Amino acid sequence: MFFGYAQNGKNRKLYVKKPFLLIALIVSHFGCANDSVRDKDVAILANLECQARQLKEQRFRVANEIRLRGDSLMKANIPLTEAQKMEEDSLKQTLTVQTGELATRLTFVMDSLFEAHYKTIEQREAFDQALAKKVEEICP
Amino acid sequence: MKKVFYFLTFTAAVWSCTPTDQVTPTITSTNVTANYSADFLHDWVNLECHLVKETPGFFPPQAARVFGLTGVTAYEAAYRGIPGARSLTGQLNGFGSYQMPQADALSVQYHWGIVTNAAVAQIMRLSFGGNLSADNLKLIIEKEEINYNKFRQEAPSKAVAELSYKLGKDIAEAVFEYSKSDGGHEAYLTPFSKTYKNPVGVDKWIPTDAKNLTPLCPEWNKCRPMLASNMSYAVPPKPVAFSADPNSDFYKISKQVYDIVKNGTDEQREIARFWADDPFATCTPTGHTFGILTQLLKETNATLEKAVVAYAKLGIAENDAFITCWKIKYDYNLIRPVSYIQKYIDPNFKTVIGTPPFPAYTSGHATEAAVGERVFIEMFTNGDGVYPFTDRSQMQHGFGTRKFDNFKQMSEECADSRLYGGIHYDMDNQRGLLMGRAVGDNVLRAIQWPKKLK
Repeated sequence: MFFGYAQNGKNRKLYVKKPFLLIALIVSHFGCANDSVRDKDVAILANLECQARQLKEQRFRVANEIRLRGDSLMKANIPLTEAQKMEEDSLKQTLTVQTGELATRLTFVMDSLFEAHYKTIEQREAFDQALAKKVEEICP
Repeated sequence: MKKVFYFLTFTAAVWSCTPTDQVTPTITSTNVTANYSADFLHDWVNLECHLVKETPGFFPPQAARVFGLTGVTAYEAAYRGIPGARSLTGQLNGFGSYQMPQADALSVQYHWGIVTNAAVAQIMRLSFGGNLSADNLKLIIEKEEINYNKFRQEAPSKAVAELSYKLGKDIAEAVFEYSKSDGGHEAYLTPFSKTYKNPVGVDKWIPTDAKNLTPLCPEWNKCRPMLASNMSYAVPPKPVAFSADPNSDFYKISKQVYDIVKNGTDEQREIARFWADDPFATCTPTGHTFGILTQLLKETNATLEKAVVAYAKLGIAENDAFITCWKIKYDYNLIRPVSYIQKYIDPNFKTVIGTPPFPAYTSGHATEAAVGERVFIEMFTNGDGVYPFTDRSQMQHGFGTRKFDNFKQMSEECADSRLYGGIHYDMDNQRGLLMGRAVGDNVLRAIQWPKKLK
């Protein structure tokens, strides 16, 4: 159905019928186009996700430093000074605002991409996998 | 003549005694809540998460309460457009129908989007109160205006749009008035009681955080649950008896925490951080579960009808889960694993994440995740709970996705995360799950919720 034989003297050559060749080319073109769209989308989101991941690590690092300093002070029965409390609050405030701003951007971009190109669960799962791979590649 | 007089008097008496919440306006098929998109409401829930993160004083109990009030308000704003739906007045603890504004003759034309938008904007303004920053207040006002201007074009007339807006505002004011007497009003101003005296004893909670030497919300147990019966449905047995003896059960459950933290895998540590929902990074456990609900509603293309019911169910259950859990916490004031382990097992023990400043038994995370489990099973499955899904709610905070085959697996992972983090004994988690399931089931059972939602 998709293939034919060309009789050329004694040789028979297998060839693909023209309409199917055309269909295959179109399908492959759209496939490439879809892959290219997905690659672009993945790159955009992976970049933001990498920033979010780095910020997360920073948050946990700061939280741990605050915690360990607090533990040491508590063991020594030394209360936190007002200056130390203000310093902690200021650090938390800065990180909270940074996290909030990035989270808003990331959610907006993800929602927009999903709405535009990844409507089904299967498409989203494929996107998740590609994204996770890309983040691993680009995020130190 | 006399008979006519008696008949008219009797009819008038019956008429005047009919509870107002039972006067449901006729719903035309053209103006039902199911015809409205829920996208704007999802945006409001996302904004609420942002407000919880950035507004001082919104710790897990306070956050559960504001999410609960938003759920109730959104439902009250839209239920008149849902066939067979009843108001929550007369169904929630102390929420009388006299408190709510009445729908008027134009009710069949109300724009449910405008009503809900105005109601949710107002309840957020009121419930975050004086601690709301100017920037965040601006975000609320802008979002309300953008939605109103869009919806106004769809309303049948300017008068209907204005009446819809007024009804929404009045509903929010009524819900806020109701909330003022629940014990949690303005609790964000003093989350850590200065006057509370920690009970003293070898088994009792001691501070785990240098900044907070008094525990969080020790009087939250006095708050009024939205369903009075939730407290009796959910009470767990006593915790395992305290002992420092290495052969005792208590030592064993503490050693289990120690071993898991010491030998935990990278994945277990990441799970601990994923579900940590630390207030300075994410919007508390309730916000996480609301985030998952929003994702599920979006993925199933739920209309405003299904969304307001789902948010109300989860909001009521979360509010009550925290009250019930906090009651148990302060009934027993149980020492945290970190304090026990440092004293009896290893003085240099460190948890994976910080231990929050309140007693151990039972786990708030486990309790609240289990109410989510019960609500999601009822809303999104035929009762078997099977629903493969991917939690993407924490991607915005730099975490990967997490996949689950069913909602029980989700809540159990959330509960286990507290063990992996060194925050809770396993009994806190397992009994927290049972408490949450009891509260969740009761919210689904005790309230007459509309059926066959779109």
